[in-house]
Amino acid sequence: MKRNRTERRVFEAADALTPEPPSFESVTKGVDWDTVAQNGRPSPRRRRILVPMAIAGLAVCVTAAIVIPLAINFSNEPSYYGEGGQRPVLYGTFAASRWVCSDPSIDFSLSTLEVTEKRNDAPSTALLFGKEGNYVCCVRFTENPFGSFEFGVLSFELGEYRGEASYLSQKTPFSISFPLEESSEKTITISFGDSSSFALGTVYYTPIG
Amino acid sequence: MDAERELKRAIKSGNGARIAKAFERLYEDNVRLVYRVLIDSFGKDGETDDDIQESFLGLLKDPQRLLTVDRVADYWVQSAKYICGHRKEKQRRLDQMDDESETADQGQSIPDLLQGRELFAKIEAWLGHPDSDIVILKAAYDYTQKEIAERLGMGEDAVCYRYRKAIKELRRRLRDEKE
Repeated sequence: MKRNRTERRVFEAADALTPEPPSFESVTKGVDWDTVAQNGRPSPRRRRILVPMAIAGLAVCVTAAIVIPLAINFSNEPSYYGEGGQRPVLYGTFAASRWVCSDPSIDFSLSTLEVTEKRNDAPSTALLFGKEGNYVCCVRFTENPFGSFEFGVLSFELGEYRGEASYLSQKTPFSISFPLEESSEKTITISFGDSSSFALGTVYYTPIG
Repeated sequence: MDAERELKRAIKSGNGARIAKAFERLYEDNVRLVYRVLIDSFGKDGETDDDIQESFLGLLKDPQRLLTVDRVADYWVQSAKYICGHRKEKQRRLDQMDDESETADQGQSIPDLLQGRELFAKIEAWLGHPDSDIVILKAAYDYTQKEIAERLGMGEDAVCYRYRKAIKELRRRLRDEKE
């Protein structure tokens, strides 16, 4: 029991009034402390249970540490877009060849669009430089096999495919990420603007690597 | 370091000399408490010392078990009470006596051992009954709230509340006295 100063004083006063108890030496006369220490160790029976348990526990941890990352890495299940065989095969590096905007008041001529496709299932990345201001952004694919669907900043799952579209900041450059299937020329329509001003840009890009 | 913690560490270390030292510290810290409780519960006779010894040696028989108890001192008190009570009961049956003579002290608010002595007389005067009883039974005997409540015929909550209030009052009185 933890005692505060007042309680300790009462306890010690009571100790002082208590008759002299037998001494520790007289009580423990003949005690073999090495035997006591031996008794304090886990019994052989207990050890026979504990040691295999510890080994088994360790083995489970090691196995889990190896198997779980491998299982994740080799999983055939698409992690974020497509369904099994429909999963796009991504490869090569693409560059924008033309950039057309439907709203002539917005000059995209200073902008560049880079599309990098990766062989693994990571989404490609499009980087747009040179435009400042706040935008509402969406990316629309109009060709097969994507059909027609959009990636919006607030909606990353559209149609039967998944992709990502996100601002790095409210100012350019920002990034748009999306999956692509083939190395042939593609069209991506990118919209900028808010409810009061809306502009549509289309980029044509071809594989270069 | 706390005697209890040191004892448990010593047991785990398996070092005989360290264990002996830790048990000695535990003994010195608590033997008077165990003694008081036995005298209070069963009265003192020629075999109380033996009860102390038997209960303490019981701790040494299975140190591994001590690692599983919250407080070794409480465990010792309880086993000493058990041993002493068992012996008295056996003796009573043998003698075919009523338990009046042996357990006459039981149920009394403040144990005879401390009644009217030094600090305890002051505690009685300052706090009055039953607060003084509660403080003494708790602080000097480590009795639980439940034990005190049963002994004094009160609710446990009342014991808890009165104890806190009384110990504060006692602290104030002791400080005033010192000044």
